[in-house]
Amino acid sequence: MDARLRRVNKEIADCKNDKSSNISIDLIDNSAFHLRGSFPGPKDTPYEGGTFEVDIVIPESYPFQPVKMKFVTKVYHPNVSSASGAICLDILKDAWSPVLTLKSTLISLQSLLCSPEPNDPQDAEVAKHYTTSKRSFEETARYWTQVYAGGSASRGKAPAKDPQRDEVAIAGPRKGTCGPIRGPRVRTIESRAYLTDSMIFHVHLLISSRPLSHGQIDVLRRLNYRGANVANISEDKVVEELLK
Amino acid sequence: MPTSDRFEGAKPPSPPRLKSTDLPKDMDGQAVEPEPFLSGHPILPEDMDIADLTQAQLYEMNQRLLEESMESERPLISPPEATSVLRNEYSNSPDFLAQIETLINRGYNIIIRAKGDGDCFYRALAFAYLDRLMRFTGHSNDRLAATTDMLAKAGFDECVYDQPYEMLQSLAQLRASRTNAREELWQSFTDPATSNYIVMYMRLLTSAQMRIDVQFADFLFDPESQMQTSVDDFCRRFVEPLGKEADHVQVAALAQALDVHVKVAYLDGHAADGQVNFVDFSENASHGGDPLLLLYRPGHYDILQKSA
Repeated sequence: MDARLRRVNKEIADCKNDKSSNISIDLIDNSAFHLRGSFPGPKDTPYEGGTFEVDIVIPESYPFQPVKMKFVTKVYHPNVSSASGAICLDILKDAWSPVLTLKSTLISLQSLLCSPEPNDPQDAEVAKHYTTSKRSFEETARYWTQVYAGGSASRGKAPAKDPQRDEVAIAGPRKGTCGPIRGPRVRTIESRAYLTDSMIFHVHLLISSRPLSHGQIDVLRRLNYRGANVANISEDKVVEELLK
Repeated sequence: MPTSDRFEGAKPPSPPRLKSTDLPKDMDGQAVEPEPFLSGHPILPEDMDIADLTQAQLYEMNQRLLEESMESERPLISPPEATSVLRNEYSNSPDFLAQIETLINRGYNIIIRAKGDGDCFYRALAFAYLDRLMRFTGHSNDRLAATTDMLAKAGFDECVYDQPYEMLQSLAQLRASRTNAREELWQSFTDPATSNYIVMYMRLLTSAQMRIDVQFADFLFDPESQMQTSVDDFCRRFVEPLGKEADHVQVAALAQALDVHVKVAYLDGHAADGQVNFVDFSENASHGGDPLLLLYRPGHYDILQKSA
């Protein structure tokens, strides 16, 4: 049997035998070279309570070249692409060493959720959200954990449903720099980080031709109503969420 | 033992050329031809600064480095050659030529080249080590058997090192009395599937020695920033990954880990009288017998042997 296959089989078995780490690795088809890893979101983070699945591809040159990993579960995190799940982590690139294993790499991903590196982002927009308003970022991350990672609201902090509270949460750290949006030409830096003007304008026409409030912009953030993802979200859904 | 004529049919394809369109033009609009380096070697001599080079020389250096990086057809370990072949590479450099003569005159007639892929030190030392184990039946494998304990102690996962260890052990069982034993050793070292695992094991041993032996901590510098760095950081970035070149400190650590006397001949063109410096590592190693010989040229290690 070739050395790569033997090593991967052993790594999978080791992971199964180790109950303390909470990391699991499973085959998704009949190949040991395409796997699905999962781990619980770390405690005291917006990811707590969620289960995060990772697509794992073992390249031909493993363990000399890094394993390929990306999140299958959508994650709201500066170092993870909110669209593709691609991960920005040094050990998955130039800092890989054959000493690392599937388990240790998944544990590193788990720690990445604890300690975002906004200065080396995979998703620039999420990173900007993180640096401009950590509190608002955490709410969105928590919401995504509930919606996509199966986290229950009772485990983490419940997301702010009250638009009034929402407004305060956002307005506080921003010191009022983000005023209501009055039309496609009037815009603020923060809101542009998440939504293009035309999208905001589009949404604001959809509901009532009134400018969107901070709370409403935040709803769009949570829905990830931007970029190519816009096509995946029906207008009805947007309106329904906005008018809640 | 393989003979060199077996390999003559397998000449590597010619490497690509850099575009020369960006080179400075003279008054007539003709591209200036790059002048060859005096030393005949692409590695920048220590007494020169890269800023002092002309654009043509930089082009030349880039081209040589590119050619070196394209030597994918060259075996990971080449069949033995006469040390005199090195003369061809240094025909413009009297200091190097004088040192080559010194080596030949002192009986160092054979060179076994390791591919210049960043792993040359580890591959060359492992080959020299196994080659000697094979030929001198007096040496035992005890030290090798003890190395797994060292790796466990350094905190490596068993699944990381058990297979490389098995491969190394099976080669360590080879005895020269067996027909084709040396051919088998050479074949294993030219097959990346085995060879790279052997290199990996050597790297793990080097890292384990540095992690366990506190005396190394003071000598670990980031080769890029020249700043002192932690043992863990140094090992993770500059020892364990394949393709990271070995410096003096890695050589010292591996010689200690394997408990072998390693002697490195420096062919660096530094002495005008042709004198060659030899540097010993683990001179008092308990593995008796002749030291393992390596030939160092700036940025590269090969195996050196005295003719039988």
